[in-house]
Amino acid sequence: MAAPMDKVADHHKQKQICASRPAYRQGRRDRAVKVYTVNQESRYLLVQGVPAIGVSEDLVKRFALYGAVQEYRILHEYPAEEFTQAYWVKFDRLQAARVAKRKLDEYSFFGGVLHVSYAPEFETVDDTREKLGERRILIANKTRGKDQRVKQQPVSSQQERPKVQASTSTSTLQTEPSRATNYQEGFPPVPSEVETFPALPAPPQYQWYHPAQHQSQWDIPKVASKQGVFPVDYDARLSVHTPNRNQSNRTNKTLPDNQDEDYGPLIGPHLPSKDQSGDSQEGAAGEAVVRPDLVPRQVMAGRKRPAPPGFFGEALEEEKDSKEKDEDGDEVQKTSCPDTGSSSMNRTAVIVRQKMRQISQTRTLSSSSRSSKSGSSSSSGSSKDTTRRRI
Amino acid sequence: MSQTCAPDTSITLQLLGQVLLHHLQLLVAMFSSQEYLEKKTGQSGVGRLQYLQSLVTEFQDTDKEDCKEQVLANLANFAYDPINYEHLRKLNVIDMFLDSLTEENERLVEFGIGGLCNLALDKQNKEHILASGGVDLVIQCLSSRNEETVLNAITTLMFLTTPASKPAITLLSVVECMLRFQLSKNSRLSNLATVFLEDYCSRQQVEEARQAQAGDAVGIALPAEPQQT
Repeated sequence: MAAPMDKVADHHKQKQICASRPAYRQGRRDRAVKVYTVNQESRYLLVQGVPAIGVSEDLVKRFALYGAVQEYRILHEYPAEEFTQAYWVKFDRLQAARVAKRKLDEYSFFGGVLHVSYAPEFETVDDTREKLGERRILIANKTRGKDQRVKQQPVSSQQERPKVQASTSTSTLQTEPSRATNYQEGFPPVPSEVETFPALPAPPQYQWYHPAQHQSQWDIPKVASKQGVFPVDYDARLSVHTPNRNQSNRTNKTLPDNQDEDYGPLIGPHLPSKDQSGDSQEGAAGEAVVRPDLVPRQVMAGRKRPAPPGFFGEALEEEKDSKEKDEDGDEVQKTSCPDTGSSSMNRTAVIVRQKMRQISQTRTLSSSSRSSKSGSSSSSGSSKDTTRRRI
Repeated sequence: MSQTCAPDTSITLQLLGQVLLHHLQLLVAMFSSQEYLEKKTGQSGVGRLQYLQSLVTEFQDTDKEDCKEQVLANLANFAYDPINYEHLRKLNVIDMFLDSLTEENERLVEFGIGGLCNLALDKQNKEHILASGGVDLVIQCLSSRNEETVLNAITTLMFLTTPASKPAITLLSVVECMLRFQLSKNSRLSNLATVFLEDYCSRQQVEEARQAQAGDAVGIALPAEPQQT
């Protein structure tokens, strides 16, 4: 410490950790060799090493987790290291101070390590008397037996701890006779609501996506699970208006039932027609359930974002008709051919479209659209045209 | 944990606090219960009695001073929790504490009196200490140079007070000593002395001591005053 050492009381200094303990009595935490009796403990704590960056409120909040803090101060005249402050914290109950000290000593707080020690020198005579009396009653209750309780005169003005705590706490606490004493009264009451947390939202449930709910024929084909892929011979191109639906039934887990129904580009098993409700959850064994949000890997391979519904159709239609697509940047990410999955191909297609759009704005529509049909030839052709336009 | 004062943080904090307190009561109770001990050490672990036994054995067998200090401090801390009293009585740890009061090593004295202070409120322990002549040993500790030793000695005397032992504890020299302590700048010392004088001594005794002190009798020496702010 920078300040003169003789100003600091001995019990505020941190003793050296004992390093020479044999393994059988080495505890979980490293500790110094020290004995704590009722004299050393106090509901006044001294907290050193708090960074001097205006964290009073946060510090007190941290301490208040363990019990009601009656009062706290910054000890400006207390010798502290540079950029740290010493705090004086007064708890309502000794038990809370004990717990706080145990938990927050050597605690990393805003970059500084807290050193928490008891400060019994701040007690008044009455505080000391009360402390000794509480200890006496605690021991008396603990050793005398559970049915005999010593009546405690209310020393502090704390409210009675609600008896509901006795029922909500575990058996560990029920053997604590201190419940009836003043010692535990005023301990921050644990409301019974702690036992019952607010109801969580229901977990996500598998929902049967009925074919009838399927909106548009341009929806992206979906599969039953995240590991799902299209069947090998499934043709997912939406430009092909009659995909090979018979083979689409051969998904990962499917029953060969009712393969004749036409349900659009949806891949999934059929439910028997009696089960028409959309709310039924058919996670039963042997039946795969189509998740309306799961897009197969083949589709996702070349894409950065999931495409909005109908995008495939739009993109494909553009090539046939006029180029009135919006952002170029989106195209790079959104466009993908489900079967090929080749990103370079996609990028090429996007670049082609961009250039064609530029051209179409100055030239006639028909001439540019025809030249854009092919892939590489159009790029070479357009590069000549757009040389002048390159910035 | 976010340190801003947003309202949602305070709610989170509140809930966190409630949960934390609930868990705290499970884990960090004032005293342990049998279930807690079993849960902590497990079925195959060393039992509490066995562990204390091994501590006592080590204390008796070892020659190294710091090992003795460590073991004594460990036992003194165990003496804080009444669940261990049966074991400690069985292992004669109380006698161990009493013996350590006459050691030359100041730390051993400090830990011994600390252990006695922790134990002394239990009825059976009290009887044992009084029967073994512990009062005189504790009174001798009042003249130690170690602040903690003196404080623990005062408290032990208070805890050992029974109608039978009161005369032995409130000797004239002791009361005089307490009067001197009451004037000390060390607030811990003066508080304890005040409580002793007000609650454990009759007015008459205090008066007698005052008069005796006025006669400048040299009784029990004060401990060295630690520097206080």
